[in-house]
Amino acid sequence: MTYTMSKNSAPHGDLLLDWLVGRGGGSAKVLEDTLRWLCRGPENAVHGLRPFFWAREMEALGYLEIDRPKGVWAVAPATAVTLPGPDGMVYLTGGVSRTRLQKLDETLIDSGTVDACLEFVDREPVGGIPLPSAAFVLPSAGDTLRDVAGFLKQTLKFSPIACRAAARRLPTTDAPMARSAQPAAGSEVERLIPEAVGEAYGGRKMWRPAQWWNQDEPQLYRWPTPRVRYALVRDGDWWETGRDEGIYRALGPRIDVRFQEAPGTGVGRLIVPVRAQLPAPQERVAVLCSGFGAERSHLVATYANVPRDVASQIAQSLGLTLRIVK
Amino acid sequence: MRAGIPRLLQVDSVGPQVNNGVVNSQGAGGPAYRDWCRVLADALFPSAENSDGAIYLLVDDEFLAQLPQGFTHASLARAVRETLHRPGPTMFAPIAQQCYQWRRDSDHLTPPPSLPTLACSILAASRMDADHQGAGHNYYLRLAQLLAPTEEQVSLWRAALALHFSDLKPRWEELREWMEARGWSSSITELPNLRYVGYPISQAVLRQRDRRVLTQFWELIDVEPARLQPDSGTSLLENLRRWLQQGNRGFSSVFQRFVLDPNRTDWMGGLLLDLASGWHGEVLDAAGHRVERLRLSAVGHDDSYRLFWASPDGMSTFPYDDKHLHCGHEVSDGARRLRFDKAPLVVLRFNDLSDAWEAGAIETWTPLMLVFREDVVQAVKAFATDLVGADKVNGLSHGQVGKTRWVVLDAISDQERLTGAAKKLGQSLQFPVLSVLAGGERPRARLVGGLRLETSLGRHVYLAGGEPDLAYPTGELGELVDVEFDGRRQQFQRALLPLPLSSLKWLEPGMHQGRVQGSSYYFDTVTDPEAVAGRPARRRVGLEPGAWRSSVEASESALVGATVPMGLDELHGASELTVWVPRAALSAYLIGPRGQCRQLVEPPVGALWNRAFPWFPPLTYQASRSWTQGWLAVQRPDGHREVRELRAVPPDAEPRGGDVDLGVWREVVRQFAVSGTTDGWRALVATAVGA
Repeated sequence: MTYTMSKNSAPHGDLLLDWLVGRGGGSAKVLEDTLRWLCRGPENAVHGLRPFFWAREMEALGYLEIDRPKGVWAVAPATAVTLPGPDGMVYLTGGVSRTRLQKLDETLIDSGTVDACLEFVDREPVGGIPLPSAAFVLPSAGDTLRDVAGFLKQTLKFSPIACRAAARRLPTTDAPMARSAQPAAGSEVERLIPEAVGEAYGGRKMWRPAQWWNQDEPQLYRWPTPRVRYALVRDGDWWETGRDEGIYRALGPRIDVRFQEAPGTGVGRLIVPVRAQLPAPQERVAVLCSGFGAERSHLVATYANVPRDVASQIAQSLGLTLRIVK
Repeated sequence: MRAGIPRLLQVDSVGPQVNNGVVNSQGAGGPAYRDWCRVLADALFPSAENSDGAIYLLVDDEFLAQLPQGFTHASLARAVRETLHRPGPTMFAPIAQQCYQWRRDSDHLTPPPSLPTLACSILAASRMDADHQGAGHNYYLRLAQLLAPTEEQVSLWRAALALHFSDLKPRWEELREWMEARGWSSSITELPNLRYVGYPISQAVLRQRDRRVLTQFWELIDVEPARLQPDSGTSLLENLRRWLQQGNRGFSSVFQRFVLDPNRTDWMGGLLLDLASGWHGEVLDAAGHRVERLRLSAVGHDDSYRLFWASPDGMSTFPYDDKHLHCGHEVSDGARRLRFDKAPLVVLRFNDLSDAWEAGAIETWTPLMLVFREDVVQAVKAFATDLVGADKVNGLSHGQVGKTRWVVLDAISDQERLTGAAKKLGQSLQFPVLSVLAGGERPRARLVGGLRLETSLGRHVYLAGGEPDLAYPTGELGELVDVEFDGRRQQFQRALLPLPLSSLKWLEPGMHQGRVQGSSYYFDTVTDPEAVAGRPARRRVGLEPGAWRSSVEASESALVGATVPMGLDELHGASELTVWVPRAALSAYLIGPRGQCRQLVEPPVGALWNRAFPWFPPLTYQASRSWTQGWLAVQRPDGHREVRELRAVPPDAEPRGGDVDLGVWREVVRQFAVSGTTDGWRALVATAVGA
């Protein structure tokens, strides 16, 4: 068994994961307070980060679930998922502490039939956010899915090609929404500027103060209540939505989502505008293709190792047609 | 569910087999002892995934009322009485005998058969109220009243119980061990000063409605579980006593007695601390209905703010009016009702996530906005003067919205000064303005933050590497402070920010004891988060398959819901399975019976592998196989041939899928004939060569 995990490069990511596993769940306030505490102090490596983004990244990687309306969170069950592609990598996610992984490691070594290898890979921080090292099981020659599942199942739930199963269950942006109240008088309402969504960071502002409501075409508005609230105005009615989902609902096919296939592999890169972040379920599916979060440039976010059919289902669920590029 | 977080029995979570089930073995005299064993086991012990903290075996009349018909206090008492011997030295011998057999013969999946007897003793404890027959502390009288068949025999039973109740001590310990072996955290304990009877009383302290009413108290004092400290229990208890002095509030008499009993301060403080630590912010009335509070909020900047009411989830807002601080306010929002009780002033704290001021408690290190009525201007001004000094008080940002005034105070780091000023303000307004955390009698450094895993009675456990910080209450910047932990001392210069104890490099995982400015601190650190006793079970937050983010209770998690874990049985049934094949082989074949043979072509290394493991190439690749392709034959680069049996497929099995070419098949099998050693392979070789 080879450990490549560096204890120094991303200690906060691993520490956070172990804490999540240890707590199991609780109020979102506790999670937020803890993340804020981790971000404390100018001498701290993660000083100044926003807890919200950290929690969102951890959620996308499959480690925890947050029910924001109810204000609670829970660590996701420890799960092993096989990744698409020719190399048969198995990604371990959910609530698996490092100690537990070491036990799993011993189990795999002690087992006479499965000569699987457990490997850790440091993840690059996303926007400075430290993430837990990614854990993979690399089975040896002759092992079958059944062998690996049989052993992992003692410790973990097992889910072959999770991204495909998840993609089939994605919610769609044409699903009905709940009605939203209009902003109270005096609210500082802002409107999404569609043209700015495809631009790079530092481009035009995405949100501009709105003095009146355009009811002829779908428009996304936001205002503080104090929590920022998003609503889609369509056909004269106000509909409650979230930020990411709202952008896709409002702009639909105008958002350029591309797929670039690696020749002969069946998998490729899913590329979305960096300002139109995938909604949480879609992002979870895209991340479960590789075990790594999106690589973000100033213009696009790229998800790796995505099978073409999964990319199509993600696009379809967002009301888009996937654009295939070479 | 967290260990040490007291958990009341949720009778409604018992499940349909209890609430709706039919108990067939009831005789004419009601359920038998063994029926009680089963019903109590179902009702008292939730399934493992439902457990949510230390289990309290709350057997009281409210609990019994929710059991199936016929399971009443009288039938419980009768069943226990008929099982026990007559009052005397051997009265509990039958229970001991049954438990002995249970220990020897049972698979221990069911609780020990002493359960109904112990439940009966808890029921008696729940009835410990003073009346014309006896004092409130008289336990044996209540148990005797329950068990004695006639009123005339109560004295006899009472005397016998007083002499022999100690025989049940091993039964309590046995039950506790069984619960802990099942992964539950037991709250069974022999209370200090209550020998033997402390066991049942420890289970009867808290009723369901007590916990509900307590949620109102948590909200009143603005408890934030993450900020509770080991010594917060005492403060919680003191505040609760004050609150109780103003009225009954709806607590049970037993709970009130425990709260007000000066001999139980430590124990009750620990219990309250556990309960507060597990509070998730939901406020209930005694009947279990949800009560929601309106929270005053302010948005704006500089000297222009807009005040409005917000629901606790921040998703609904309501207009603010000056009269609300005088008269209170209540609104409806769909099915829920939200209210605000009148108050002369409201404390707001800045939330940088929402970029708004939101209702909160007074505390250090946090900018505060005080929103107050005009008639308390002088009191607020005195408060601000105490904090920032007379020369600066007029320079504070302040203003008014209608007739409501506001003032903004920068973060105050001096806890002693803040506490003193807030106390003075509270006395001046005749209104509690201090949160429990800011209201300690003696300012002392406190442990803040940290990756805390568990707070059980008196025990604070942190993840190693996530040790808490030490926040100093008072003093000048730059002043040297002695910090002593685990027998080693280090001096630190007082700074604006709390001192991270993780900087004490000698703190190894384990128990830690420290002293700072005359105060003691205790906490544990562990490296294995799951090693903490009674680690929390997974809470059920998640998404339904096909309906993301809908029913939280129904699905274990998004990951499971989304990925649909496949059981081994399903894998067996899958038509196509996966096998890992060594790379750089000269040749590799998947072979099945009756001509099934497929040569595998090695694919290029995937981009994901190169990204994850750029320093070493993959040794294998993944290939799919059909169910009847039971053997992997590989010729290594050195010429060595080997056959691995993936599944022993009978030689005459009909090929399902895959390529069938008898000529190639025979040739490949011949090549690898001696490379496999299993019986299945030999049978296949015999078939191929014979053919």
